[in-house]
Amino acid sequence: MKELAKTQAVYLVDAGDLFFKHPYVTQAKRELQLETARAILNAYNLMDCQVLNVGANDLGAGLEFITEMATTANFPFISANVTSAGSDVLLYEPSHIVKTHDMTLGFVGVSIGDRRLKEFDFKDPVESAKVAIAAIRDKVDLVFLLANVDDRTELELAQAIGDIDFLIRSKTGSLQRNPKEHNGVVVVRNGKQGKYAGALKIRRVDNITPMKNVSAQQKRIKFSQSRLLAMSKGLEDGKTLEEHYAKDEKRLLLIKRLRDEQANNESLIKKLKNSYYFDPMPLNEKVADTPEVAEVVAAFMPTKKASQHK
Amino acid sequence: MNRIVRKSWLVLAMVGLAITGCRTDGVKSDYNPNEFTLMVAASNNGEVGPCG
Repeated sequence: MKELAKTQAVYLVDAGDLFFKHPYVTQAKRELQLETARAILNAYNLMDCQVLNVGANDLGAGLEFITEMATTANFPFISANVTSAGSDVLLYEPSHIVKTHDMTLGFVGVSIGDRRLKEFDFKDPVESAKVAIAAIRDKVDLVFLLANVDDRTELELAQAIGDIDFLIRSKTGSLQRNPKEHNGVVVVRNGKQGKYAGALKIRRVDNITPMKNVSAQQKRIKFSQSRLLAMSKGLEDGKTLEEHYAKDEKRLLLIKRLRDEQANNESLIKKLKNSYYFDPMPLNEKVADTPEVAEVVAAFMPTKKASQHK
Repeated sequence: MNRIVRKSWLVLAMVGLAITGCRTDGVKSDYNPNEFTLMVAASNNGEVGPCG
């Protein structure tokens, strides 16, 4: 990722249901769950998160707690449809705009809500998103809808609002490596529980050409690279693959085919003006901790263990 | 599996911080034009734990 960040601007955004698993916290584990949420927020502050869409589960500990979270956060909480109960006034800004080195990105958030959240009301997510997106559409290059909704509402949003470029879902266990499109809206689903870091790589040259999904081409490029790398193991210093396998005709043909395929796919992607590629990266023990964030977790974990053993 | 899930959240933090460490130095002049990456997080569901 450090390599990627050397050549591209990278921004972390969250589609909601960050802090809690349910739209409520159990009384017996309340303090532990609140401490967990605070540790997560501390890490997100360190990570320079750009924006959080407030999901129904994020409201599970009540208005006072989510207000504490929003006040402590170094990044904005947004929602175009969450109000306090009985009020018509939104609790958060409906949208947030992020400026990259050469583009302007608009983020709008909505949630389907939950009847158990007595301190909050939820306006219609489709109508709310429509209004919020209309308000920023002309000011931004791309519109991202952070949608804490179910599958039915996801479809309604995509069908009703063509102005969405990317709809990023939370409240789903589904991971779609190859994003689907509805009504020209690209739907990104990244699963749950932090199992994957979803990297959505976007190239946008103009505002006319439709976005093209180049996941298949990227997958083939990765495959070619991986096969060529595997064949490079044990290669003598300074020798090319072709030199190493000079007497192996079949292997030489394979190397040529892989190199040609990689070059063709790279060339095709370059020719496309607007394209995207979703790359969900599994997060497991193979990835080392960054010290600063590891400290946040280390400080939190003893508290967690002690509480679990009570 | 559960252990991996519990451990996995922090990796996101690690990835994000690595990115941020590079990004907060200011806008890089050598960024590819017209390109960026959005790190998408969703439904973390309150998971936290170390990895590595």
